[in-house]
Amino acid sequence: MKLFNYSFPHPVLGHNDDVSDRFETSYEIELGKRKTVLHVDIILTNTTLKQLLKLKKVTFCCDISCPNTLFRKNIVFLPQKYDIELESNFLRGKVNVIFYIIALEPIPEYLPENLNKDYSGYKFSISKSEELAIGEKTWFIADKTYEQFFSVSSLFQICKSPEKDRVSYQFDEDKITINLPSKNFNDYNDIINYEIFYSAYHAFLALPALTLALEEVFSDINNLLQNKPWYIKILQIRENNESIKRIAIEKNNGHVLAQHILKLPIGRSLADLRMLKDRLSIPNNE
Amino acid sequence: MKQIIFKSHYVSELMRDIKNGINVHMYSGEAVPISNSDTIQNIKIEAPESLKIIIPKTRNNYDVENAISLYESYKDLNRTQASDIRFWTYLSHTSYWKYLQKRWPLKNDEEINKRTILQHWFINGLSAKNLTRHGVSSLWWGSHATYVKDRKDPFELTKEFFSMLDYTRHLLSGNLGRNENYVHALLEFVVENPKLFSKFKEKKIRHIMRVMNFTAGYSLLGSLSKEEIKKLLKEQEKELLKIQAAK
Repeated sequence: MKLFNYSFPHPVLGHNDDVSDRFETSYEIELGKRKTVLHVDIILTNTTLKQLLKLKKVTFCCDISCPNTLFRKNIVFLPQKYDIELESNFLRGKVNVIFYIIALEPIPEYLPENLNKDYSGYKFSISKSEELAIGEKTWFIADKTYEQFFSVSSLFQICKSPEKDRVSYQFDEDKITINLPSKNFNDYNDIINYEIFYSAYHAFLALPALTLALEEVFSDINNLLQNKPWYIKILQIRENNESIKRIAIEKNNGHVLAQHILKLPIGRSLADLRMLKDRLSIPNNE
Repeated sequence: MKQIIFKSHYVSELMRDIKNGINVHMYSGEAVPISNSDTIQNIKIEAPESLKIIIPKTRNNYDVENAISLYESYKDLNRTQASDIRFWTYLSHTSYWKYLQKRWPLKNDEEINKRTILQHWFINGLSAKNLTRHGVSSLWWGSHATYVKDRKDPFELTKEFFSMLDYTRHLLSGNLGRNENYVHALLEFVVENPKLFSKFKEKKIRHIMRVMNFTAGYSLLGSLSKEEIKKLLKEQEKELLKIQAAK
């Protein structure tokens, strides 16, 4: 959970121990081709704010922003369960979501229940749009896949390398880049659309690249790679999968996490190769 | 006619070469080589028959004219399409090649040239900052954020926006600048108060942006209407006059 470490000119529920009550926000995402819907559910225990909500003097507000599409919107609503609908083409990549309770009109003598004792004796004058409660900073990924590669195409791209015989990797771009020598690049393009080879791509192209990339992040003391879209996507895959979630994000664990992110590609590719052998009835060398 | 764009791997290859100091010289020349295998068609984007581009001269960059013309040619782009690195990199390496060469002329220093090329010919990592620095996409996004259909001149705020570097560099890339109401309110306030901004305009705009950024730390300005934001800006009038008096 990320916390806000700046100060407000008035007490804010959810900020440090200003007010000892709960403002818990959660949402489920429905990513459609045309519409993206956030099914929002809010728990609020503070009686002052509940009362002000009833009187429509304050409101819930969702601040949604997507830096990649320069999109930002503040959506206000009163019910604790609410659906927020957005055009999917407003969003690409990381979308930041924070919920607030804000004032809908000036509140001259604001004094919420269960206020920290440090504030005793004070009353606060609140202006319209000022924040009175703040939820957790959260985000989700609105994925747009460009070109066909494999099911993890948003993580990787294959490029032609000027080198003659060496495969190289780059991790400082939006996707993990696998640079193939020219001849290999052409071979790759010839076979890319055959589904039977996908597991093999995962095992011999993606797995070493992802392992190296993760080790690079884990030993990246300057945090230069932490905000790269490919790493954010990995964190999201991990967050949404209970078994991957149990794998620790730590040095020397890159190969374990990589194998699980890619759905154990060595085993899958061996099984596919075996199937291919059976289909082609290739005689063995024994 | 459908829009041609680069393939992702080609953008990465071009960018990797510049980062490694390869082919930097090409950006002063006629063009970079582009083959059919480096491009694809985006069938969802209609390409204009031609693009009206005014090549910058010593004393005039023609930013407003080029921004309006580009936006009118690609008015139907949605936000996802307009944040496609492949599309903007294709335009900067084809139709806008000569424009960019004149707009950001290269120097005799390879390191500076690498930075200039990565910043204006490429979007070096998708972000609001890089979209608003790229030589072509910045023109489109600047227009998109300031175009107001129901104004007598829908591009009136666009003209104000491209009149000053502080707007183009900082306004849209910041978190606050992504609020449409805020951007429109700020530009309208300046346009409607020509006397107030007749002197020390840059200093005054910087003051406003600083104050509004501070206010946005505890208030959700995006929940206010354009008129309400203008009222907050009006409250700064006295301070702004002091800046004038402090000559």
